Amino acid sequence: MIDQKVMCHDKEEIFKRNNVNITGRGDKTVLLAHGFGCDQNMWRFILPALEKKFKVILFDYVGSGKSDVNSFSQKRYASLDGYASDIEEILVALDLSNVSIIGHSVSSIIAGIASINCGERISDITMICPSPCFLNIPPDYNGGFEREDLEELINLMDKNYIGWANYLAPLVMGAGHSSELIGELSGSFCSTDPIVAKTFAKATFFSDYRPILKDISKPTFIFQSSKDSLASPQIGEYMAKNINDSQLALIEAEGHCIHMTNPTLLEPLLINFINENNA
Amino acid sequence: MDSSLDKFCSGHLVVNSKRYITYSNKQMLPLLGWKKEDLSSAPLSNIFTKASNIFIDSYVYPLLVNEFCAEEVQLTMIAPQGKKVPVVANIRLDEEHTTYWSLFVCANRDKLYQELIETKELLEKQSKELLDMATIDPLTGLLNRRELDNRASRLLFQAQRNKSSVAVMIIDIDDFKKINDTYGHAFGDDVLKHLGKSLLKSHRKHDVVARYGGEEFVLVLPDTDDANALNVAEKIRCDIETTEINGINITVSIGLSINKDNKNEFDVLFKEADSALYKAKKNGRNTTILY
Repeated sequence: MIDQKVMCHDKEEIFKRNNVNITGRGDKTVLLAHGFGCDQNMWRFILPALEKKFKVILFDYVGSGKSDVNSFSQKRYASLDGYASDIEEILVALDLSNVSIIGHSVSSIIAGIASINCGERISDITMICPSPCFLNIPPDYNGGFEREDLEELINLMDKNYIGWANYLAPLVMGAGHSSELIGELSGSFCSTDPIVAKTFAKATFFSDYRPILKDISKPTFIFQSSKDSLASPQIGEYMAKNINDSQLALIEAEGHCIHMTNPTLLEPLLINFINENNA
Repeated sequence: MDSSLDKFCSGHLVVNSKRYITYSNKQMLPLLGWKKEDLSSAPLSNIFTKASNIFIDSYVYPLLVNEFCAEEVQLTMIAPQGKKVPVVANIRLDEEHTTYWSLFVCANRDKLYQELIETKELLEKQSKELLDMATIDPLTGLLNRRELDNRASRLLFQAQRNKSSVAVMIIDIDDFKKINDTYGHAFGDDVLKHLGKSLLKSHRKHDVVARYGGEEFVLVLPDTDDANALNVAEKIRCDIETTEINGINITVSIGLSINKDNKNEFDVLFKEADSALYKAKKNGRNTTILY
């Protein structure tokens, strides 16, 4: 009962809860959804190109970055639907419609869920290195990982003290300081509460969202990295095959964060896709 | 210089922007039983476990691109034969996106961390069990009397601020002693469990449902006025009256109280509901009375 968080549509509260930032100018609104691991900072390399063309909305999922950790609920965020609710509630609170969503990694699927629940507000989706399911599911589906691999990941997260800053900050500061001050201290890149990080990891890596792909009806552009240890090119093809109105672009690049390492390869295709859909 | 680097007790790698290994000192070879040709010009991902590669992609590279260095990262390396070795890595990134890796074997530290994690998990499990024991009635799975006091006081405090009304309801099984005497205590326990379950099923999200003790159950209902409370109570009473439990029919008497006139102490409201219950019993049972 304590674990339940009520839906929130109050603009001011949402801004604080999800650390919403608005930048750029243009008639078209683009919402950037960060993936597992870090926060909206991940967009900073591709942001300058987008800001020139669009109004850009950045946010952190509850528990990530500078969001309000007090709003975290293990129950709500145990599945990707909880993260999709964050997006849906931002769209409603800001009364946005005709929004293009760009999601990195797991946020591609989260954006897909949001587009099914909240279709009237979303015009199209761009997915960067998506995977609907990381697990190998015999006989036909090869997500790339066995359950032991992913259990090892959770263990590794524990051993790397993700979120040490958050753990230690209240101790260092002493009790009785405002949460805002502590938030500042622990705002370093990628640090997040360990429970939050593990909840996000489990929701991301142990789920199977293949069945929803066929329900994604919005135009979808998929960027696939040619060498990505999280999602092989076959997974990009699987996504494209199962999402009705989709295009796939294979980017010659290394790694899973191609929007950070190779933004210039993505920018023209991305901007073109959004403009075409909103001509 | 190269030969000096080979004498250090740590592994050193240079990895280019395409994530291929372009240099490794000799220390890297015996570490996992690699041959020189396994390492030179191999992709970086070849030498780490899959979990470590996810971690590198989700945390390490983003961190490097943002801050140019990542320190004390624990990863697991893997040899072609499948042997795994835990390592700590310090990594630096330069403008060309070349990365420089210093790697230290940390098998002992890893064992210690594993013990810490297991101890932490055990403590978390035990503290959850203790919390359950302290708050849950073991027979019915409802909240116990102690937790009822806590939750009810919190609800009433909120209600005072919002100036909303709260109902306190005591439900008491009629002639429970007779049921126990006739059918035995195990049967009586079954009746209590059954009633507990049906109360849980019908409650709203923020209602508090507890077993007060014996055959007495207490509900605390936020945002509920006289009329609503009577409705809810009558529905519960009728449902119980018409539902057979293990082949017999039972009835309940219900006492109700509402936090009127800014009375917000739970024990006061409870006493009122209890005296209403007393009246219900006196009036022939199987009935609801509002204080």
